[in-house]
Amino acid sequence: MKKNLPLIVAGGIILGLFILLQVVVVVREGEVAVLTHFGQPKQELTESGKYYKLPWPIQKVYSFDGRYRSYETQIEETITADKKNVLIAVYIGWRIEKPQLFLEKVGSEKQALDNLDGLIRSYRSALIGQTGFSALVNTNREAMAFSELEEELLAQIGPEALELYGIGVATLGIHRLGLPEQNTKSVFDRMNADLKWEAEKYRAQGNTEAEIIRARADADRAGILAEARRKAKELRAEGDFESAKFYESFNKNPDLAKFLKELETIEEVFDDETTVILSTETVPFNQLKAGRQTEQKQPE
Amino acid sequence: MSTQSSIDELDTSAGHAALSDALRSSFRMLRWFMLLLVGGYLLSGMFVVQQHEKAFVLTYGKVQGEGEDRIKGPGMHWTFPRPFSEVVKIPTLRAQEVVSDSFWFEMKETDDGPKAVNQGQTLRPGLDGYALTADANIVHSRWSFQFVVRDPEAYYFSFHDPDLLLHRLFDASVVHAFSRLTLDQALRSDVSGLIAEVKARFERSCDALRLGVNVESVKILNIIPPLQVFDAMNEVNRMESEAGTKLSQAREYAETKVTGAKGEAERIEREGETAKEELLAEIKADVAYFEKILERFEANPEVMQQFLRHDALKRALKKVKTLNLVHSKSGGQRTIVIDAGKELKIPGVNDE
Repeated sequence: MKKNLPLIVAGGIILGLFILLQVVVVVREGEVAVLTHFGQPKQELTESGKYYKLPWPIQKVYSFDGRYRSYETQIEETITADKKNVLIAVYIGWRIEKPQLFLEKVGSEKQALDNLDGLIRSYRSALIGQTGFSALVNTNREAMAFSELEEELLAQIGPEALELYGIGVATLGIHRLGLPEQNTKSVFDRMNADLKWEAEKYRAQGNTEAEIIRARADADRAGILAEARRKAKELRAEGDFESAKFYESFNKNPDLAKFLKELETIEEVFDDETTVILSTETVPFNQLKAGRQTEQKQPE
Repeated sequence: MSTQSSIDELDTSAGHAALSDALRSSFRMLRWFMLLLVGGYLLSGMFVVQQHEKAFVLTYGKVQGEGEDRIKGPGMHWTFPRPFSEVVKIPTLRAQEVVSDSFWFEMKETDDGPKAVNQGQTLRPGLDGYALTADANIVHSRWSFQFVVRDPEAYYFSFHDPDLLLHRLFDASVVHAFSRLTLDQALRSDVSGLIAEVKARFERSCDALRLGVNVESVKILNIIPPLQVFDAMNEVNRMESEAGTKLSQAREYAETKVTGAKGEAERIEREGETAKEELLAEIKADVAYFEKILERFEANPEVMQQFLRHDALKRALKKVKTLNLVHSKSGGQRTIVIDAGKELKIPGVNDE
């Protein structure tokens, strides 16, 4: 007995581990599981940790990844309310929220994706069919209903997915929005025409605005100069006005004032380019004439 | 017989002793081996968390610890090895970059560099990515975003493929943002608005899902109109550039004109001011002179007048170039010849 002790211990450990594996269930963080009793779902294990069960085949545990995962539909053509064809791809964020229902109605991830795809397709086509193209793309943001469309789609799919398949849908969005291949050509034709018009607009705008700027500058210049001339004239007028009070002094002897002004004028008009022709009768040159007459009379 | 039996007994006891020694030695070795095995097993529970990581220890699948102790920071740690415990490490502090080519067309490598596979007049769904703008035009773009994991527990344990989900949330944000802007706004006039719109919506989506990430940045790597309208777009750019040049030239012209006019205006105003000052100075000087000689003039007007006239004539004639005196005979004809090249100055007529 003593001799076989190590073997007994080793065997005991192996047996213990085997029994442990049979009766202990570990639900990992992020996982959900369903405990079945002879195939009949008995308990949902939604909290992580260790649980105990009766060994197989009495009880069995089915584990699933309980985290959110994404699924996206193919890009598919659908028709809007105003009969325009659009291509749309939708993604969702989903997870198993009711593991027992999921096990009973779905069973596998592949089947879950097939079921979700069917749901999304049917509701998406119906909803887009009631929505105008202008609700999807529009320069007027108030006329858009993009977010509302996504919310409505989520509101329709979410409860049904939970009720039918035990799947919770947390988010839904349109991650591709396009046009059918044959329609892209007509978009390019329109874009080319629009761009041609835009180029022409820039050319015309450039010329017109440049002309306006130049004309405005010329007008501004004329205005500035006219204003300056007006101010200068005003200053001269002020000078004349202010000088008038000094003229009163000349009233003491107007003849002298006039005489002095005339002399000043004579002085001012003569310069080094002036040729003056005077008669010998002019004072004081008449003195020259008187002298000459005296010289002529002397021989007599 | 007895001798033979004794010899046999001796052999048997010696064999047993040898076997016993061998077994003892084996058990000793096995014990050491078991001790080493147990030691190695326990040591395998040590783990190192790098400076950019956070770690969780799951014991029987459940996160160990409470509150902040749930997250293990950088350093060396120990836990019970598998199958009892499991260590999950998550890169958190290091920003992770994701590039989105969802709105870009299919490319191929050629000798001249990467080129678009599709050179046709249409875009193939699923292969040539693009977005629709608010004015129902088409635009291609490549994006990137950076994020850091703020809440590693939520990021890892609530989402199976968080990177993929982030990518889809991001693409949806791009689709939204383009659908609200015109082609011109998206390509040129409001690119920063486009990026801001994408980032804002992307952040809202991540927060609503409690993904536990912080969006650090959103960038546009490329944004172009479809290749099919490239020539027309280039023409628009050329015309816009030309218009800009014309406007610049016109503004330069306006600046020169107005600045010149301001200078000239200042000169004109100064001239007016100077004329006013000169006029006043002159009249003041005239009055002063008048006042000075008035008394003497009134005492002897005739003589004073003669003197003043002579002085004035002297000063005036000193300046002139030529003085001609014409002798006149009573009753005779007088002829004055004037140099035709000279201008005859007549006071009050042409003295400008």
